[in-house]
Amino acid sequence: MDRLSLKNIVKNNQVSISKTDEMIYCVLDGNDFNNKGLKITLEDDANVNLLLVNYKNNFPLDIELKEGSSLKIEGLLLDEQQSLNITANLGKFAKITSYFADLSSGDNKSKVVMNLNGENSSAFWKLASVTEKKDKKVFDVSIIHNASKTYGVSDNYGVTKDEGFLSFSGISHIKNGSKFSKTRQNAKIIVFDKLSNAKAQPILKIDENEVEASHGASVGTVNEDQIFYLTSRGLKEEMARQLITLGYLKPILNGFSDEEIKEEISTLIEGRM
Amino acid sequence: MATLEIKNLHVEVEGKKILKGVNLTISEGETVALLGPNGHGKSTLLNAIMGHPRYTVTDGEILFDGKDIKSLSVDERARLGLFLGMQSPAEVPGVSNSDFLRAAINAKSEKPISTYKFYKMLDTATKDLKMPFDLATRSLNEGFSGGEKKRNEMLQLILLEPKIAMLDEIDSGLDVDAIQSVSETINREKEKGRGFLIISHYARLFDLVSPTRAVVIINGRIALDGGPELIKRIDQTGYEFIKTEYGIEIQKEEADMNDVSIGTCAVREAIK
Repeated sequence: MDRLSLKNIVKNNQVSISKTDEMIYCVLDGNDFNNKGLKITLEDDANVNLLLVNYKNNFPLDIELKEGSSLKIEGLLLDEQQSLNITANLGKFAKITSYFADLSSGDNKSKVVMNLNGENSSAFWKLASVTEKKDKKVFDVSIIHNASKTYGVSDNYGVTKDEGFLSFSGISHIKNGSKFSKTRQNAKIIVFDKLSNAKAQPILKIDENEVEASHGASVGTVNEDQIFYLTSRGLKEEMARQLITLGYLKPILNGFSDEEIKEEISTLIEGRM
Repeated sequence: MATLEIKNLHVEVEGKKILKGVNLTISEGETVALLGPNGHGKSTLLNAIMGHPRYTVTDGEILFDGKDIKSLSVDERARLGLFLGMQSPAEVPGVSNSDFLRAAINAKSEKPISTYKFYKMLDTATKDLKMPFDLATRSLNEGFSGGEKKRNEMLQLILLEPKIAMLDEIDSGLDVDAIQSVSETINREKEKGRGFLIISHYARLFDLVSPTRAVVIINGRIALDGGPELIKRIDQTGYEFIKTEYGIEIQKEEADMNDVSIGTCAVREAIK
């Protein structure tokens, strides 16, 4: 798939994209930018699909989505130390959808904040992360509802193994004046072995009435009933564990548009398991 | 011809004795109805034979073709030719039903099945079961209705071709058409020589699959082992005649207190 490289249209670490008849496919290659970061603005009703590769550790990414605009981010974290540092501000009816496949190595301390400032704006976040080899990864993803009828979903799935530590945290905050908003947080981590550790701590803050909010988290080993079921059909236990874990991580593939990238992520996930 | 022999089997679940000396033999080609009141050990027997880790065999033997399989893992027992169609099959999100089935077929084959042959088998089996093909491509049991899960168990039975299949209430939650379809599958598989050990509370399924024998498990032991006429009698009169005619007191099922969870958030700590 041909994508427009952001480096060709960025000036002074800023880029503004206007509405076109069709979705614009872009790529942000971290190797093309210095560490000052980047501000991306989507003008009214713009519709952009952004592939994010080679993201530099703590690279500040500031996103502004104006009225009716829509941004889909497909993020691929494969290198060493790729902590995310993303802030998004959304206007009326704006929408951000983010899919991140994290197969990076090294420690990670990511912070993502999505501010739903305009009525009817929405944010969807989905992450699949593999942590291993004593790496310590912390993903802090917050969705702040500052206007009425806003909608936020944060789904985080992970596997930790080989003495890795993985933490999912973040706040879903429905502030005063955000009536009829809905928010949901979900965090699930499979702890693969006894030397690995994990923490899932979704927090809800609700300052307004007439809203819907839910959160759920589970941290644990592979479900023994699932293991029994698969092994009772002849699969060896090791393979059953692998299948269950892949089933946990692979749905992230559905968020990626490019078949080659899907294939790459799929192969990498299988290799790690 | 494969034979499954259970000799003096004692089984505990979480320290509670459930089976207290079960003796039973089933051979390939036989269809045995396993009856008994709730809580007397029917499902425990099937799970113990399959090797479920929660069920501890404290005494006795489980012989498959004369070899004690107690020390074998669950997958090894499956590859020998045992199959357990479960009452509540686990849901496994993200694992496609067809990928799982193919992996299971390959697990017991010397060389991997070709894509063409697999999909042809899958297509034929889903049609036989009157099952929508898309169920075979969805995540394993995830979001399936009770009936769909049971049909999926039967689909696995067809594709995995076990020597002896144990079915735990495969008819529960099924409508009339689905019971008909499941029974037709059992009858087709019987013709291939498979042995069946079937638990059901309803005579309807047994009417359709015509068991060769019926055994009744009471208080963790086989109380009666006889012809299929036992099924009709129990269906019409219940288990009371076992007390009056055979002097076996039927112990009441102990009701466990429900687990209570008070005021915690949905966070569970790591299990290490």
